[in-house]
Amino acid sequence: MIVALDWLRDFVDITESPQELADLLTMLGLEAESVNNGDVIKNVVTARITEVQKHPNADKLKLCQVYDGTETHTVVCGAPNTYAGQITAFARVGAVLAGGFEIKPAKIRGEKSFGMLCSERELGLSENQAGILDLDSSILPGRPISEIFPQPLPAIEFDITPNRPDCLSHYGVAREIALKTGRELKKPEIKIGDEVSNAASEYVAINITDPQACPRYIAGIVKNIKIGPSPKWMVERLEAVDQRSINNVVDISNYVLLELGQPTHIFDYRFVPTKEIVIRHAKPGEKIVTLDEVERKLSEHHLLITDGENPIAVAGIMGGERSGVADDTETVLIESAYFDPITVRKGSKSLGLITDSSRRFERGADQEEARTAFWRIVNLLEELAGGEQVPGMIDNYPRKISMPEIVLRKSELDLLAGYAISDSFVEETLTGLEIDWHSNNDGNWTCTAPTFRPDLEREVDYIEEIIRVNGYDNVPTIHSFTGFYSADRQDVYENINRIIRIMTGLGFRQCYSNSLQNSNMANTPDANAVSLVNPLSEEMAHPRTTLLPGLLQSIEFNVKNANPNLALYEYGQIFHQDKPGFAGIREEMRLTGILHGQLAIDDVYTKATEYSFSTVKGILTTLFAGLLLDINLEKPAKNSFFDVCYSIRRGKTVLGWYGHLSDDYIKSIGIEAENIHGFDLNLELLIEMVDNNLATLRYQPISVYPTIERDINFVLPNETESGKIVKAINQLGHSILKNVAPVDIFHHKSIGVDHKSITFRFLFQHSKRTLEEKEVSVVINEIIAVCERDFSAKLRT
Amino acid sequence: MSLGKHIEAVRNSFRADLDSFFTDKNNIEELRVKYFGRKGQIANLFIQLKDVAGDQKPRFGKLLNELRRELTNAFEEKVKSAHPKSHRSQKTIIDYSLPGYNFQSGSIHPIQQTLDEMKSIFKTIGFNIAYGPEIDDDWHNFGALNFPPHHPARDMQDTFFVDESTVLRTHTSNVQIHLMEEKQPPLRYIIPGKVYRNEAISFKHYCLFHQIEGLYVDQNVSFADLKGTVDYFLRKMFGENVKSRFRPSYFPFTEPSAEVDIWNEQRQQWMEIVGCGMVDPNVFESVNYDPNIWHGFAFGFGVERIAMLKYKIDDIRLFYQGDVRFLEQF
Repeated sequence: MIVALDWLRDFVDITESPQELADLLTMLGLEAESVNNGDVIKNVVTARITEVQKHPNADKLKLCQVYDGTETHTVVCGAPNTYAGQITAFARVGAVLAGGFEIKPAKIRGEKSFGMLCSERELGLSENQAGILDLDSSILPGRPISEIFPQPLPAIEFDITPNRPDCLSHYGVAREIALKTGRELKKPEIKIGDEVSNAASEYVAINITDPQACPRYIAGIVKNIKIGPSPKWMVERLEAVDQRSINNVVDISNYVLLELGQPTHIFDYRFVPTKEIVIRHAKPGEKIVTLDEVERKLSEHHLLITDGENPIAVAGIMGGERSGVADDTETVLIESAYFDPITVRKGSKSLGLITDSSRRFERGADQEEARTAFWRIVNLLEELAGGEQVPGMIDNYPRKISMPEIVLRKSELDLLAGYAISDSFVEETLTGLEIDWHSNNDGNWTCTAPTFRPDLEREVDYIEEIIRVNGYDNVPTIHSFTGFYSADRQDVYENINRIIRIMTGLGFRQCYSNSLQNSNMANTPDANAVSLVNPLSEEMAHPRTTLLPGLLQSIEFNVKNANPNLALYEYGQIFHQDKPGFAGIREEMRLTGILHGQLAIDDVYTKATEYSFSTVKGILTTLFAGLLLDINLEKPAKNSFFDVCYSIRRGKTVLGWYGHLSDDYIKSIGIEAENIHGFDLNLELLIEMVDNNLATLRYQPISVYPTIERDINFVLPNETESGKIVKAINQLGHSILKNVAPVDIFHHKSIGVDHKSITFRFLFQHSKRTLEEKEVSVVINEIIAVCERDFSAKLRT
Repeated sequence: MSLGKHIEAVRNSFRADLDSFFTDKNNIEELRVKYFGRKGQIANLFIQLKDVAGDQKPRFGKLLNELRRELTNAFEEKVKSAHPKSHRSQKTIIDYSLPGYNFQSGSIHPIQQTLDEMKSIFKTIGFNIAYGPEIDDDWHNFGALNFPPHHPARDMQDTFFVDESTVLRTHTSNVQIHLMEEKQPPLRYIIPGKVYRNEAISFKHYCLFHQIEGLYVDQNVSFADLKGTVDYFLRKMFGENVKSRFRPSYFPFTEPSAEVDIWNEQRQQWMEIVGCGMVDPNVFESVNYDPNIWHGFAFGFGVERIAMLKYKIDDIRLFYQGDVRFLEQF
């Protein structure tokens, strides 16, 4: 909603600057989005370029001689469209351009410049800055630029919240100003004519079929209209609020809408040959071509204005093209009605058509204002279009909406506000809001709101009005946090922070990626994606079913930007449509990490090392060790994202997968990257395990007895997996064996090409006494025997 | 047994010990104490020397010294061979000016860091933390929050629909309803999470962002308490000198409603930072709380907006690109 200050002054005195007024209304709840101060650009004049030379030190700059009507200035200019003889806009030294940029004498690449040649953008005329203005060559130099481009009247654009339909007009905004400043609100001067004459009824009858949808319909007839241009003052005001002037009759309807907030419609009477207006719902399959020349298919959602047969307008939304005012229109039918908000909203939604009219009706117009606005239209048609009213106002008013009587309690006001507001302020405000009230002398007031305030329907709505007008600035700021509060836990996901700390320590960078993906990414062999009915685009039509594509896109992006060595992770929700409907949607929090490029780069200490299967396995081992959870990473699994895939298990629970991502999968979702390792696990399960484990965590006494370490070299067939040997050794169940792990793998022709040598390191310790050498030897001998028997191992000497 | 035989026994025992495995420090120390300690076997032999006949003393003394030298050399040789690096070669010159060993550094996303900071501020004033679903039904996202069907307030939040009555939540306020359906007042919670808006993506807007919603319900909660809580948060987040203003606004689920701006010195303008208000009685009725007994306030902060102000980030899309040149700055 844009309001022009000049227009507001019809109804209230304004002493504030546009900015001050914007601030005042913002603090009343009418948020000012932008302020047009209507500043006239000073010190910018028309000028002729008399000479254009190359700048000696810059290829793209020119040295221009510019004649501004009194003298010639040297100006350095970078625009591509300068030529000798051009008439353009010249900002003299001292001019202030759009955005507050002040022109000063300058030296540009060694050449002095006095002033600036301007593009449309620098003058605030448009965003165009492709070149300097190229004006008609007949324009003389030296004229103020504001004569060529008249500056609009000062205006403020407000973002009016949906609860305040009364502020969608100049009169409504003026009422707020009067309320806050205590100034007089001047009612518009409207001459009410003869309302009882039957003359107009000879021309048309009004028939409402659904009083719920159309509680009131006022109509009237004006003859002898002469269509022509609107007067200058009306055109200026309309332009100040971004409305295009069309002709005097159409402009009058728009003007009254913006002035009083009441939408009206003016029909050419020739298109009501039946002398009847029937307001009814559309029939299935019915059609109308609206004023914007679009054919609209209608359904029973739409309320229509018809001539008894054919539709001539969609009620409260837009008129029909055929029945609109034309250059040869002489007699008009004025409509000023009140339509039901929900009916208009449903109609507007289903047509995908929002108009100034529909916006007001769906928020709640004022059924009483319909009458005032009718007479305002009649007055203006007579004054500006030479019209002559047929006496009488046809007022079909089947359903009067009454405002509820509300009791406002002082005690509730004080409790909710948190401070005391005086009775006199409350009463002044109620009066200023045009509320019908009386005091009950028990600290309560009985109130009835005016019809233009449909939002005042409960006590709390009145309380808001009192605090709002009193000023939120006046509400004290109470810092008191008392009271006893308990919850099972302050944050059920606090242990995610443990995971974040470990991942950070492991060199991972946390990412957040777009949760909305294309079908190709979101629908996988294992997951059915949820579909949006109104996505921004097909690329973002599904909530993600996996975090992998987002991370892979990051890898692709970073590789292209010369950062190929990446360890990235994300945690967040994924969504599966397991079964149809809302109940079939499953949300799950997952933790996913991926690796690309090198773990270690070539430097003085290390040789380049690629991220590999063992890196991701080690990362998971360290992560789980840090979380104090045992983990099983040894079981091969199948998963459509990985071509080398192992499960992440704890006990019988599978938490997720890790391994080498399938290059085919990556390619199939349209990402250019390969050789990526990663893991993907269920974070909710993991957090539950961490929580349970930490709850039962107990200190284990540290053994004081010495440890004994032994290394054994086995020669084994190449295909024998070390993990199986470790598992077999552990299964022997010797309590003194604290740890066994391969520490070296050695290939050499001396042991045969199809064999390898693995050194296992054993650590022994007794928990209650010092171990004896021979106890260790017994176990070692058993291990050797088992390995020789079950794995064809040979001791290497 | 004669002292000569004792000497031989110690020598053999030492050789045997030395030949067996020993690679760790404990073992070395054990061996040193056993033979070379104050009460070790060599010291023990020297004690026996005083019992030897006078004329034999020089001979045995010499034998003992030889033994001690021999065993010490063998021991040190063995220690050196087991731990060659523990004895730094005199010839190696270390270049201390070399860069240190290269370790990977990780980083925590600025949204996470901002969320964590915000959570910790609210934790200090007794707010618990609740979470809830990102896809929810119309009732929890709109209906129970006093957005009637066919009400223009629904246009305030551009909504992604899964079907007619299922949406990607447009705010974390849906969790207010879940919380109040499950628990009885008093309540003091914040609700962090991701929310979705069907808005064209630009430097200013993204199709999703993070919110921290707050909900406080008790018998005597006032608008002044709300102002105090938001003011406390802003001071802790942006410093004691933060300049803020409360101005009237409209949200269906609060009444009175307010928006809070903070002054951006750099841009010389007010920036909207939080929407808030007193819980609308209709919301309490939706969850069967008696609005004559219970009062409360609610607020909703945009996490990205706060992170952008804090770190002076001018393009919201940077948060979701995974660009390491961005991530490594936090």
